Amino acid sequence: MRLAYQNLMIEIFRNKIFTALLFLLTVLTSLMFFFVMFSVDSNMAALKAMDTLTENQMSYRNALNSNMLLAYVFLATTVGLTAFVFIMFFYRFFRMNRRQIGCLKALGFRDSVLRGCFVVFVAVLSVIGAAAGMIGGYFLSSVLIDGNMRSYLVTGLVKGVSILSLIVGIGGTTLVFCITAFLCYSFVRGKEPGILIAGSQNSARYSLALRLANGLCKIIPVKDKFPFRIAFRKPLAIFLIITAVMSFNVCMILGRSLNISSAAVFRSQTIGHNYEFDTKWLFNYQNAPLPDDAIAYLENSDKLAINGVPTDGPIVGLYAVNELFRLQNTNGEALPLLGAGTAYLSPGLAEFHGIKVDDKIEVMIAGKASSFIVTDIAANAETGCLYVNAEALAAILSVPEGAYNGTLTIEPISGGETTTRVERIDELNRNATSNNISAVINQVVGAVVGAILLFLALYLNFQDNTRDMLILHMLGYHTKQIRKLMVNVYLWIVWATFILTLAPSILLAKAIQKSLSVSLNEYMPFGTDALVILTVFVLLSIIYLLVQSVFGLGLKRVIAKEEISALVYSE
Amino acid sequence: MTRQNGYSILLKAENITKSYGKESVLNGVSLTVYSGTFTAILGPSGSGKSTLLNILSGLTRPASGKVYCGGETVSDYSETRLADWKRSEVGNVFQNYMLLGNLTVKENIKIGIVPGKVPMDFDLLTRILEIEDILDKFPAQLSGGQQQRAAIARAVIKAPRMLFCDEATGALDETNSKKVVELLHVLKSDFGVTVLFVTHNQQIARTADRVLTMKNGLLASDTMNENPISAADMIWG
Repeated sequence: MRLAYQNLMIEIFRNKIFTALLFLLTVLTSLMFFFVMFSVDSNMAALKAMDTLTENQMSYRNALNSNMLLAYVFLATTVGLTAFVFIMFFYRFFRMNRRQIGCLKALGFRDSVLRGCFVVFVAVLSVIGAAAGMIGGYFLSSVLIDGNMRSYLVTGLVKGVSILSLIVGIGGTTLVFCITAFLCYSFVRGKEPGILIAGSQNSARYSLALRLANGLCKIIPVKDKFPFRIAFRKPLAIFLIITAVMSFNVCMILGRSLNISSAAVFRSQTIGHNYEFDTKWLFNYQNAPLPDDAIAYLENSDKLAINGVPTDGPIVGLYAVNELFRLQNTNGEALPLLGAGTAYLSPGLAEFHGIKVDDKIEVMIAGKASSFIVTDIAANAETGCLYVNAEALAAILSVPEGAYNGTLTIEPISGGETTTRVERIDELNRNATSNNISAVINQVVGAVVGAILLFLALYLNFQDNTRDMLILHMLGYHTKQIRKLMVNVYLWIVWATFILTLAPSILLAKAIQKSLSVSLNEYMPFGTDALVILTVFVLLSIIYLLVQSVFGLGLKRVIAKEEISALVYSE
Repeated sequence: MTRQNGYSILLKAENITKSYGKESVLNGVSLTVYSGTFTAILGPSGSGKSTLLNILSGLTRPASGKVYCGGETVSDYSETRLADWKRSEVGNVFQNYMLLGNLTVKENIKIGIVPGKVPMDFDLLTRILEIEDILDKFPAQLSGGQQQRAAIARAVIKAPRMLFCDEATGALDETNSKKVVELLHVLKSDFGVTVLFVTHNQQIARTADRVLTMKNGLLASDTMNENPISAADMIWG
């Protein structure tokens, strides 16, 4: 058995680029998880042990919760992508080595024994990769910890991970990859050695491939359809490219959107907010006269629920709007003061509760039920805020009409708890940062993983074409002609895939961000721009050219070393 | 064109040597290939016959020595020139067919056509090779004999002057082997293609106009066959 394992291992490690990239993916998967968790686990435990938390510590705890959730989401995503690469690897491996597997089976090795070899390989690779990622994560977590110290003005932060994180980051990922390897063996499991050695003939596959390829070729607007016909006859290769390009698109668009989202939230909280002081009275209501330009409001968060779902709120009733504070809808149009029975929602609330304009909502305020018609979405609303008519709110709260517990003013008002404009902007900046260093690093890693996936999909494709290219070389085709027939076509396919998958990728990224937003209970508006689309296009082209160059060098080496003869006689 | 023994010389090799690492495969082989002949190259495994065929057809470059064709030194050609020469003048047929798996038989044959050079009549060729009914099939859907006939069609569609066959019947049964050898003789007699055929099979050698025998990287014998038998008369096994 040792010799069989040794033989299979040698075959596996002959795929140097593939195994190196698989290892890199396992390292990156673990790295992006542990660099967050090293900064979260111990500090979260310390915060939980405290009886009371300062405002900064509470903000920090919320950020840690967000980071942790993001880390798990990105871990699931990268584990999925890496598992997909493992599937690509094994699919190709078993196809290329079906004769060897057939021979080993013919020699009496059972499927369980052979499958064990691949599972062991994946387990060792994953554990080493995860451990390396964990070590890297330990050092990289300093960046996040330093950032948190600066953002939340908290001290005494330490690095440390919980047993659970270790189990998930190393054990969990390894288990998923091992299960993938276990399942991938199904490509050859149960197949008779004779069939594996002889190679199967699948007429149905060919007729279907031919029909599909020819059908597709008819509709593509190019003159020389021959290279496309060859390429399209490999549906799996095309599927891999589509998956890789789309994954890359989604990773890049999502990454950019998270950045745009921070800026958008910041912007929405500053546009129309021209007051200098926001003063609140937490325990009583006021009715003293205010300066003419001041805006008084009523605010309440007590047992607030919308359509039966509890929400942090608050619900706010504005007595006036003016230059100090004016709500705007998503088109930038100023919103008038609300009438009775109507409400404006912040975009976050609308998204979390799935509420649209003109919907009727049932609101529970301080144990009393009321219903409102949503007349618009207030783009520059305070986060999570529901706005209603002030007089109506006063009636619900059983306070005298005109009573208020908050003011927005240019001059300071004494008596309440005041937040200055500077403090408010600082808080917004902190939240923008919290949306955040870990997210940015995760985006980069996500994009790298997407790029690796695309690199592998293309490289795999070119490798699959090596035999055909060498045959053409043998027939006297020039390298340039071979490239035109079998290589260059993939650039067009990558570009076409990019264009065709752009809209679905944007929709998918939007859906992912929305679910993230809901999970984190943190409003993250989706956004994209021409720059990111152009960047994705350029990066895709660069990755393609990189693969083409790497492959071209390999092909040149094969030709120079006269391995054509080896090809001819090896079969 | 230079003539020798009443034949015109198509290809000439002088003192060809080749080694793979420390293993010497050819140790100074010189030979002349005559136009319009069927030459069989016999020899035990490892005697260097396939390497010699690859060098003559431009698939491999010799370590030393020269290959001449039509007054030019093929072995000194640049990569580009060598590719043009191979594409225009040389056809190769291998034991394992070497068809492009994702192309139909028809496409596999058409990929052998050289732009700017008049090809052989496609319909006639496919009829002679009895593959006109399988043109839309993929290689994996064909038997070994059908694949080999498709490979021959691809090799000769460009009307090459030389056809190099390396164990071209090695993977075929008796019936198919005979058919392939018959077809190669038809190509030689009807289309003037010069055939070099590497084989272990003495019966195939009996159909050849000339038989070369290789041993230890050297040409051990070179015999003109005065009374070649027809492919149909070959006695198998």
